[in-house]
Amino acid sequence: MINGFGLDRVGLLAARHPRWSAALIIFLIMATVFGLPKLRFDNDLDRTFLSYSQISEDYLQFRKKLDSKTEDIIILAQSKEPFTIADYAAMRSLSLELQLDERVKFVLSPFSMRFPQTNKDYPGEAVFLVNLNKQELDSRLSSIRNSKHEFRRVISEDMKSAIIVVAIDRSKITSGIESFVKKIVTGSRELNTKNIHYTVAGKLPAAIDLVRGLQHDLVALNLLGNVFATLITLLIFRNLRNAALAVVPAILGAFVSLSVYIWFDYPITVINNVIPVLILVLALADSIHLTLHFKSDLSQKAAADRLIHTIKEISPACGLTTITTAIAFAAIAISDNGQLVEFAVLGAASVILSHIVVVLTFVVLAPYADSTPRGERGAPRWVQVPPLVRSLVFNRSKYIIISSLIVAVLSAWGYSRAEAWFSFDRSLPESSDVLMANKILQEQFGGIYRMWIELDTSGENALTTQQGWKRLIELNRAIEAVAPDTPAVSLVSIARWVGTPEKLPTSNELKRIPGYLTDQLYSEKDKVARIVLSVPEPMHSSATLKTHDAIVKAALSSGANTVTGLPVVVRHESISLINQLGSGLLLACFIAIILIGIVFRWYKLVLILILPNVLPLIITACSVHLFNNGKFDPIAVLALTVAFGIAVDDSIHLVNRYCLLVRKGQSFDQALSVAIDQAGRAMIATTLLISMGMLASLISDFSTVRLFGKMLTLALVIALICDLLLLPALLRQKVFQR
Amino acid sequence: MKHRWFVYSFALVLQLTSGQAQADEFLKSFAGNWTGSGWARSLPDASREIVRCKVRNIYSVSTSTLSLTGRCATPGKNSLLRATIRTRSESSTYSGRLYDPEGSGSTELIGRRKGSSVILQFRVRPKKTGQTLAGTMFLHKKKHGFRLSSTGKVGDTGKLGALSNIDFRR
Repeated sequence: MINGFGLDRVGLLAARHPRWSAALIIFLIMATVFGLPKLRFDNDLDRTFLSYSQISEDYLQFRKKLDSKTEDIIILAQSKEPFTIADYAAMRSLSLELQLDERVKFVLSPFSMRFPQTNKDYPGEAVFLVNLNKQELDSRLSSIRNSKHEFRRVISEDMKSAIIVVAIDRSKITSGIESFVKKIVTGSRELNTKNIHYTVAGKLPAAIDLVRGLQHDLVALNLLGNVFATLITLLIFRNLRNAALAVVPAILGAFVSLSVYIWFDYPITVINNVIPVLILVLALADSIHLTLHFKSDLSQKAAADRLIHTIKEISPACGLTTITTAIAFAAIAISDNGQLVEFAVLGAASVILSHIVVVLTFVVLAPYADSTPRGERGAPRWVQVPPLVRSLVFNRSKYIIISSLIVAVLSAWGYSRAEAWFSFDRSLPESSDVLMANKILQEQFGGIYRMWIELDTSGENALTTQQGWKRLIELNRAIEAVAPDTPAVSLVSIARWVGTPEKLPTSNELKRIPGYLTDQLYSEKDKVARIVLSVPEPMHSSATLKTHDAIVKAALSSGANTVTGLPVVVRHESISLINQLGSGLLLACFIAIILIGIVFRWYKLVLILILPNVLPLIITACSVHLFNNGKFDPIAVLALTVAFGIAVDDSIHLVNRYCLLVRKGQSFDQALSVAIDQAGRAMIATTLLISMGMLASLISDFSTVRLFGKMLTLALVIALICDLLLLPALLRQKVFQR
Repeated sequence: MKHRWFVYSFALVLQLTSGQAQADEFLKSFAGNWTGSGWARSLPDASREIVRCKVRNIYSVSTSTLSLTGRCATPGKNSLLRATIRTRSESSTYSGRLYDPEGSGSTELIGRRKGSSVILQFRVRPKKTGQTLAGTMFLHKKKHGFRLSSTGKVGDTGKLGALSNIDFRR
């Protein structure tokens, strides 16, 4: 008999004190109900990428040093046709209205554009005149387009899109910011012509969309997950009372697990919002194992005795599967990313809590279920192991092992062709207007993320010296050479605008530039000059990644001291995150398999379990070519880690049944055949159930959540095949027998 | 008898008080919150810039003073609008101060009323040019609002030109 590390005793204790168990369940439900209003949603997008690494620390230090008192909101104005004079007038009214809002520090728009002093037609003039005239405006816009001294592209090439950058005073960003953003959009509708469509982008609007998406997911995923799970359970049992015996404990287990968010005071994030539905299907797997055994147990006639027998036979295995799943979750805590550590803690704690609730509720409800044992009919005929499985296991076991090894090698090769990838935009719901705007901004306006390149200007490198100024010019040229289309602002670009590119601008000349901009370009206190680049997120596409890396390389080789900004953090942290999660997965595999060997006191089992449990992971890892364009992102590793934790459960149940039967005196092959049949039905039922439950994730508005669901489902289906074919084939090998 | 004397002296005090703070109904009509749009420029020969303003004018009966406070926006730049206009004892003349939007001081306003307008003279020396600009500010009352306009010329030989023209509505 195996032990479930104490978790197996919960059922026996509950059977002895059913009233206390019921009281405890009611208490946990009430505590969760009253705690629900305290659930909060994470709106900090930076947290997805920041960790305790040096790059993140440097970026945080830099932000502190820069002491930026503003937060940008970017308004994207779009028209199906090139903008008309009326469109420009409407956009100008909007930008002036925004400028007058007391929360707004400044507004950058096409209307604040000025010609460089060197422009031969309109030196120093505003591009847009007070009275807009089509012919005059066309000529001015064509002149500015031909000018090489644009500070920032604010009107697209096709004249159908324009951007207005609104800098909000950080000290005035309160909870009312959502209504402010709404006001911009609705207010702009009043001001606009019918032709223009406005979309708001930037971190603040993105955070609003993120929270909205998370709230929708929490409700939709759980509702749909519950409906799917209930339907499948009804199909499995075809009896309302038996289905209720399986479903109710699982639903309560999943519901109570929400309280873990409140206990730890962790917010719901785009990563951990799948936990409740995941817990539901895991809890359901436990309760189906318990219910199937309870209904098919013919050894005891009285329901109370059957309940104790079921608890004794199934509960230890369920306890052990809970522990291995919790280990898989906990292994994710190896990451130094805050959101992933929270995922690990929440996952591990929720699995254990929901298991306890499932067992308690099962014991309390079992006396009210259909009391007649159904023997073989505990599950319907269609939930059966196909005869082909036994035939293959007992006649072709070596072929199964060899072909599994070949598939493993091929999948490993396929996986090695996948590229580590992490896109910032994937953290946003797909229906988000901000996401749509981000795409256009990245493709037509160079990007919305800022990258800072710092150059030391202390001592003999002071900008007032010829050598210091020359260094900054050379650094600018190096960046322009590798990224000619990337909007860049520095003291050098101001010098060019003023018309004296070989000279440091004078303080009077600098006064013509908004102070917030010049403050970013030079710090007298820190003795650094900066080049500010507007870039797309590095992993927007392969081309943007190449440009990002080229900029960083060119900057560092041309004397820059540091290159920082969110794009730099995203570029490096994503790879580091994937590596850390990969290590977590290996750790989870290692600990869980060793633990199972120890629990069964069968050390060769460690070797037996490796291939059936690792093969599904390798094949699923390779499936990113199918599901994610060959991009392997942290969510994919997360799915694999969780999949391992769940998939190993099937191995435990099969081995547990096999060992029990061998102990009862059956021959190895006989025990294996019965174990495949008995445990196999529960394994098929639970895999079907978890897969259907995870199908709920397909309605998520987050592509990451959908990827998680798809990969997890695939991993579980392959794990089922491996546990029904490969694991028994290995168990039959003489070298592994006890 | 004593009671009668007390009533007389109280009435006298009331009369004196009301005489001291007689509201200039014309100036008072500019009080309230206004939104303006039009154009402005810093010098007569500079190019015009579109401008939009939001002001809150307060009229003080006790000092017969109209305080104009608000924000004006031209593309890419915001500036504060602050001025005070006080009715002088000779009711048709006005004085006051016009504050520098950059916050570096103020200049005197002096003028008179002509029909539905208040015309105020001022002199400023912008740091940018270093030259004196002599200007005239017009506060013209209209049916549903008012117009704030100004003209000026740089130095003694400069050409007189319009500096701003902003129409305000509630």
